[in-house]
Amino acid sequence: MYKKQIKVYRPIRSGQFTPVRNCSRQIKMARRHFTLKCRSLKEGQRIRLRGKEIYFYKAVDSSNIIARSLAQSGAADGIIIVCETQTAGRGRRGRQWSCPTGKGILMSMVLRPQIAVPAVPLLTLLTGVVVAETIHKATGCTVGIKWPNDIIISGKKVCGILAESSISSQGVPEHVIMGIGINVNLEKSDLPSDCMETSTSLKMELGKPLSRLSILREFIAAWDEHYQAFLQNGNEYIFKKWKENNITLGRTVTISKGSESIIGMAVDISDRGGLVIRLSNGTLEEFMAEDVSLGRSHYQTI
Amino acid sequence: MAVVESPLAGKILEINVTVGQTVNEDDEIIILEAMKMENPIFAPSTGTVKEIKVKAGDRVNEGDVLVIIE
Repeated sequence: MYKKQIKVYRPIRSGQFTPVRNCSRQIKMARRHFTLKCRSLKEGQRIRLRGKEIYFYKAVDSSNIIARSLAQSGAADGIIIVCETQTAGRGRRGRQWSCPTGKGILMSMVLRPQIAVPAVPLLTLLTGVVVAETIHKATGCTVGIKWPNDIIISGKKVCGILAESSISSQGVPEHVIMGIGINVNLEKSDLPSDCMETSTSLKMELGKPLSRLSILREFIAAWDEHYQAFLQNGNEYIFKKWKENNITLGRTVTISKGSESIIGMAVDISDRGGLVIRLSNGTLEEFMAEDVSLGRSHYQTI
Repeated sequence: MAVVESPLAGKILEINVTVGQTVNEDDEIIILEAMKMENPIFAPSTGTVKEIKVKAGDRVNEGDVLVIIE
């Protein structure tokens, strides 16, 4: 069990913190990574890109773990961790997530949104919108979102998103970690064997490699645009943009719910971001966290 | 006694405590998933888990009681 630690470091100058009470393992980790930043221009290097503070690492266990440690030690909203490879990358529900060194964009953002708690999960929908628009702009490919945030090109997944929130026991959002992995320059042989038919990369789609830095730059610009618009305009902004980019609504989908599968028509997303399905008996049911499949035949028409 | 309510609508992904277990304030007791975001729920105070009202896989709404700690 991991014990939450917050505000245990006091900033003393830009990018450096001093402890205000005894260190736990997580806090030592945060300090170590800040220290690495100062010692090397490569490992833990900090740069600014379009106004964002970005920390680069060659290899980390998981960029989400680093981001979480930094968030718990007081890192500011918008800080981004980028790494070349992860030794313990994971997807949802503990699934392994891997990417060959230097071929993907592996990043985690620290967010400190001052929004109502029920709106916090909507940030994953927003992230899907930003990634979809980033990839479309960088490649010209037709990109769609499968609810809630799978990014699909030619029927195959090209990006994984792993989001974690920290909501205080008093019900206040403290931070959100948004982990994003984009398959950029992977060859088919780089994909795990169980993903070869369901995943793709930007290079596989375009037939040529792309600059990861350029894509990161596009992502940051798109993120800033959409995140600020969301903060100013509220949840409806996310729903509007998500619907503009989605490939889920209007399709027959299969919902995996435990050991059973439910088939229905995806008709809408609810005011809390859930997928609304019309079942065969005509009733509507909302799903908040289940896995959704569009089926191969539907992918081929995209 | 502390009643831990769900801050969000979602699905219970993990329950990290058992009835009778002692927990400290800010221990992670449940992970709730919504829109593929994992949302840890923390113990609001130190105490003993008296009752767990949900199980992994359950769907919950905002305000539903998850755990009672005394």
